[in-house]
Amino acid sequence: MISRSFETTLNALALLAISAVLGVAFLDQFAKGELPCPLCLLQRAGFLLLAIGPVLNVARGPRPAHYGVTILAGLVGAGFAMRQVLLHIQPGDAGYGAPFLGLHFYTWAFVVFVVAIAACALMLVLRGSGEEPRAAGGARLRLAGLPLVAVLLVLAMAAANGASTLIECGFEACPDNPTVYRLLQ
Amino acid sequence: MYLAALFALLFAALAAAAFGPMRLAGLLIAASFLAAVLVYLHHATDPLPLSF
Repeated sequence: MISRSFETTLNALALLAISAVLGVAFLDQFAKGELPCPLCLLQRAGFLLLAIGPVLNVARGPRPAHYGVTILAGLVGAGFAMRQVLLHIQPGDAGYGAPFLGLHFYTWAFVVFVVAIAACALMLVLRGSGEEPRAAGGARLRLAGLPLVAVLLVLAMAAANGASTLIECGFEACPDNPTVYRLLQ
Repeated sequence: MYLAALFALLFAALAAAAFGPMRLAGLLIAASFLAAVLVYLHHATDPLPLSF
């Protein structure tokens, strides 16, 4: 069984990993000039949904319910990614965007969502059944150090994605194959 | 526009989960999940090129 402090550290590292995934997507967007499609943006939103459970774990203490939130987010995100995989599954379809390490981003997204679900299952096994005493009402802990940095980084990613999406789509519905940043035209 | 609004909602949910009251965080988290699924359903209207 793992200690509570180690569990909190693992959740903070998970938040850093989610930030890294979103960072790579941003890097591709700005370095290669590939604008994300609506389904791509939804998968980014899925990663932010995935971050809610670890944020709750580091801010209010680890609980099985928080892992449940992450598993639900993983299922939702995997559904988003699988939809895009199936849209391009026909032989001869080049897919959307350039591949990254041999796979398209949406395929990687599906893999990461499934790995996140498996990681939650593993954490639920490793943490055991013993509930540590905690304050009622999900009281917050004092965030500091690595957990605070990880939470702030995820918040920055959410804000950056919101701003980037607004610049890309403007005040209309996002096109299926975006080619320009509408607010910069 | 609604995708940017979804990210704003997610930002609020994450901030509330980290720094806000649990009741507000729960509401925002539930709203985020619901909004994400609704946006997905709005976009998932094209038939998939599948045959079973």
